[in-house]
Amino acid sequence: MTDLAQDVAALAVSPARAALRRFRRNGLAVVSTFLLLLICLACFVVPWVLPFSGADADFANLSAPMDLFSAHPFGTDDLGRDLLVRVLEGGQVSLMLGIFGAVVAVIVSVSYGATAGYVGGKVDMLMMRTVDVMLSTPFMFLVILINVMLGQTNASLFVAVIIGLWLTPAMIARAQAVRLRNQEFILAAQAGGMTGGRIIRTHVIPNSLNVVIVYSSLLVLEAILAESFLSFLGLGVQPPNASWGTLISEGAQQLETDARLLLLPGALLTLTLLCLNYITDGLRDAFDPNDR
Amino acid sequence: MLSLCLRRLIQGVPTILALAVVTFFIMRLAPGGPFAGNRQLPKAVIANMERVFHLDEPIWQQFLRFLWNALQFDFGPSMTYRDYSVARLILEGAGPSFEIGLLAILLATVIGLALGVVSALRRNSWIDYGAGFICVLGVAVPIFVIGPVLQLLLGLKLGLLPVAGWGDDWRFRLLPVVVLAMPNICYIARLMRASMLEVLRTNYIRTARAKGIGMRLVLLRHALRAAVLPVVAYLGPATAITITGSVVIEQIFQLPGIGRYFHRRRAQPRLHAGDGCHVVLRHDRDRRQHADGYGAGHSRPPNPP
Repeated sequence: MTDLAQDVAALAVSPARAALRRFRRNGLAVVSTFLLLLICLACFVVPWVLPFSGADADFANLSAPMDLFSAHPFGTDDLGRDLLVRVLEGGQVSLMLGIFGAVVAVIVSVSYGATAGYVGGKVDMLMMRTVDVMLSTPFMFLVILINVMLGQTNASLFVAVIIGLWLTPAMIARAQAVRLRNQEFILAAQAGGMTGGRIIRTHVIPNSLNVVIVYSSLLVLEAILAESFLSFLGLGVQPPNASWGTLISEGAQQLETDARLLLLPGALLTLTLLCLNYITDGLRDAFDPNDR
Repeated sequence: MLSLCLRRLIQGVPTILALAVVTFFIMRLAPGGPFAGNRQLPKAVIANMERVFHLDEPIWQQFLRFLWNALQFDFGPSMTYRDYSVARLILEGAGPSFEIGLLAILLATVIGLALGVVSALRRNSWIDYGAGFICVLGVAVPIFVIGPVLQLLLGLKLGLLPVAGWGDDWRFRLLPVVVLAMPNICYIARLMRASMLEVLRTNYIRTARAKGIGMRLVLLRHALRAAVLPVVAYLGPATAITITGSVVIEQIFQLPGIGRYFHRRRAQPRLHAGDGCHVVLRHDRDRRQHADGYGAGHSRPPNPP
């Protein structure tokens, strides 16, 4: 290999790396990423390090006020449970549900959209009409129906969150699959005798995935928002387990006596959503081919 | 125009029907029944009650009966509130709910449009950045956080507004409407800004300016009419967000609306109130979406770009 070829090879950058480079130039997005990682780290490590858990009541310190240098830096609630640990443990639930919800929603929506788009015809119409009907049904009704069917468990919360999320990416994935359907490599696969199911699995889904993947960081945001929304209404995580939504709901009820119980989980949720919002913007600017 | 409206309305019928089917059968297939929670009753009493409520008929007959009654706005008696019919609960709750919801959508549209237009016209100025930041906040701060915080700040600390409740005074409406409008203000402002920027770049706007028409007239006559289209199309989803949001708002501010039945009636299987609210709200939403279709047909720009 000549020197010149080596130089060119060194200069050549893959699209993903170029996008990453663009992302890194976006200061707000980078700061948000670090902040979000910090929040995740705090939620998953700090409660594990501390000697007490969020369920442990400290009867010597009921409703302790905020004091950064005491055993309970943000005080305790009226049952003597440490607020900081409770908020961080609630964060575990919210973040896990957000991330897993987004992952499952992407998988479901891409499989669904790719199948509808690739098969086309009546199947496509039926599948997409179903999406339309669900999209125009207010979220609350779907949630209540799921609650009636599955009972009030964490599983039904998870299903409800995904039901609320997968519709829009399914439409995006379908549009991409329709675009792919008549391309040469698909025709080649058909000519080579590949079955429809395998074409969808090996060609259509991977090529639809990259369109949805940028959208998926927005899905994490929406999943966290939906989870806390439902938990706030009492349709989500059930006590004694906590998530940010239930903590905000409990805090809102004790607004007059102790606003701190509302403000700490509210602030952490807001901060997380803000970070996710800026990361989504950054990713879209970095990966969107139309905007280059 | 009339035929467009009619066609849209007819298109809504199968959707409503599908929804009624799904609601009805899921409610019926769910385990438990309206009498499951009661103390043990003699078989004969249960059989009697089932006959009164037509629960002993085959399910398809029950469904037809439900449809027929629903068409006459009769959803049967409430299973939770004694001596109340579901229709009456809906009618009584509808007043505050619609008032808050309509005002919120109106407020969101007016403020959202204004913010969007101003930030598009003064692009990259401090106004634009300020509006952009407010929009991000509006999306990132959930209404169930900002609601209680405003209650705390304006109601409890400053004592300017009532914390919660309902009455004839406009001050009871201010906080719920503003909080409910907040997410939509942001979405509408973002949409309007983007579409306004796009329209201002088009040739026909430049031509109009080149002909010597003043900026104000070009904006009013040409730019706004074209730029408002995505916002009109968004008003359908906005209604959905508002309905979902109003459930929370009615809980936070203790309003006597329809929304409170949704969380209150959870875990009570086979309640007619749920069916009723469901279909009514759904119907209203569909009608509004059709109104949007109408609006979109109406405000098409005179000179399509």
